[in-house]
Amino acid sequence: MRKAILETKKLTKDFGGLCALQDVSISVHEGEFVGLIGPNGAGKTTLLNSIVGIVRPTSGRIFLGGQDVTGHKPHQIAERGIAKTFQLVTLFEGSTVLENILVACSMKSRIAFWTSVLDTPNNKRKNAQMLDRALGILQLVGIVELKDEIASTVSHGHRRLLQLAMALVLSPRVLLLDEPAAGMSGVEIKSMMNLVKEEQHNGVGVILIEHNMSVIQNYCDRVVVLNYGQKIAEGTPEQISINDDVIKAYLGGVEGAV
Amino acid sequence: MSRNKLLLSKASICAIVAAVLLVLPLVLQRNAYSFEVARLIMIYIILALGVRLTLLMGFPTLGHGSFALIGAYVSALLVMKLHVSFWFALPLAGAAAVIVGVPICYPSLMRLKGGYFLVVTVAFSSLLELVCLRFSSLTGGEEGLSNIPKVDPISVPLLGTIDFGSRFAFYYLLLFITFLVIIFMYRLDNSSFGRLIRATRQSDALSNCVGVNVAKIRVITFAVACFSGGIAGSLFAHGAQYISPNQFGVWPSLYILLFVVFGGTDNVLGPVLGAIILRIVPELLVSSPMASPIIFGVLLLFVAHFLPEGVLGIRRQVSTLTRAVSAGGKPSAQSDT
Repeated sequence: MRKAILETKKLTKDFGGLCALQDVSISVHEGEFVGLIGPNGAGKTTLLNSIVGIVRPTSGRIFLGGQDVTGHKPHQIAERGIAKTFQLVTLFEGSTVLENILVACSMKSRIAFWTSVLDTPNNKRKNAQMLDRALGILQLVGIVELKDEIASTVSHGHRRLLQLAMALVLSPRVLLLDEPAAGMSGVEIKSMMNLVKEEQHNGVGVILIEHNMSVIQNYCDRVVVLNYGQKIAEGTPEQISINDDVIKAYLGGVEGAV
Repeated sequence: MSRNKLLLSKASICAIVAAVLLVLPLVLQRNAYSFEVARLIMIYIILALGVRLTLLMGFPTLGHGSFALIGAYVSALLVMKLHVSFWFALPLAGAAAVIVGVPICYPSLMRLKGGYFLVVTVAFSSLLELVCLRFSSLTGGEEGLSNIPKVDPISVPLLGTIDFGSRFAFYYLLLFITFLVIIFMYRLDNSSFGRLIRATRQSDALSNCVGVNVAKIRVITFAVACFSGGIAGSLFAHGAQYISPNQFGVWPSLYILLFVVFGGTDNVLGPVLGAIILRIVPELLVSSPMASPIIFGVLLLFVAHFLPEGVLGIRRQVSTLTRAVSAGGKPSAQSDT
């Protein structure tokens, strides 16, 4: 059996009385594609944010590859191999596309102050490697020709791709995607999902928040449904689509009606 | 071709500037006051470069003079009371500024940004001024410390002993150190570490999520700014042979920030130009020290209105202008493509 690479155990987040997450336990295995769905305000984004340490969970534990990473800082989580994209595209807006990727490359290259300022031969080699890597990933997602454009000026679809590229360049073990394809066209969604699929085949675990059900049906191995901060269902896309609780959560339940 | 030409013109500009700076003391030799202005400008350049560094990571400061004040007192006291050589006191002054500045500003560096940080630095600066006034047994209180020894002579192989007692020698020493600071800041700017500094200014959350340790980057960057401030203070103290708490209070810090804003933050040359222009032009235009703030203000308004990116922003404005002109002049070329 494949081993769970990321696991949350009874994760709870209380925003001063408002329970955003309540005892949520989910897991992702190596090379598994997990969909995370639920109505607005169900706690999907909070769940991802608490996994990467942006939000500190009130209680519960997070395990990455069997190690407890609860309470780690976001940059430590990134270093341990969890990459996340933001629901609202977040980029270094004033920098070029290439610079954006290069910042994301810095972690793997271990940029240090003195070697970087003195520009030692080792640092020169590092910089060359970083540039190669950055251009490689831009090539992969297909926006290499935009490398010298300022990030804030490129189109929405390209911004989404850049955001994904910045996550991929970290060579993560787990990829957390918060509505990565929101506002994109069908063709764009398809090419982006193929990129993610590629990563999945290389053994990366993926958690995807998505409202587009056909994307969930087509790509996910397993789906977790959240509602009011609680996990209400889990199973294959087929099982989920006929689950009563899920239908009730989305369409509203009437007593006695199905 | 054009790139080569550009490089050539850049090299020639550098050569001319270097020649002027090296020959300047010979021209000024009779005029002690001009030396004093030149010395102050160089010290302000070092300070302004430190302020630019903190601005680069999104932390404007009105307390940068405090680090100079710490450096000045530490260096002066080490030399006067403990008879330490200036050459040891200089780096120690920088280190003292880091030791005091970083822990005190650490909580604000982690939690505040922009204008909020600015307010904290004002408080820090005013507080330090008060501390210096109150501990008069050590700092000399309001009168400050005077008769601070000049820079110790050093013996250099081949050149023999260099005595920094004369204002010529001190000018060249200061020029050399200022040059080193500019080069250092330039390299930092263009390094991959510099890229991370700019990234942390633009988004904390994203920087963190791509594995950049934002806290560490901020502390290191701030420490560099503190260190350069401390060194500038030490150089001031031993150059002027005098230091008092109000030399580097909030008001001078405001001027330093204005030098940076005036010159522009895009490039290390911005603060350098800012300090030079804003110090010299008022001196040249009016003889009365009362009137120079007026000139200062007019210059600042001019830049704020016409060159919002600072004096250096003029290059971009000119290039967009020429592009617009050439595009307008050759409409056929555009329709071809």
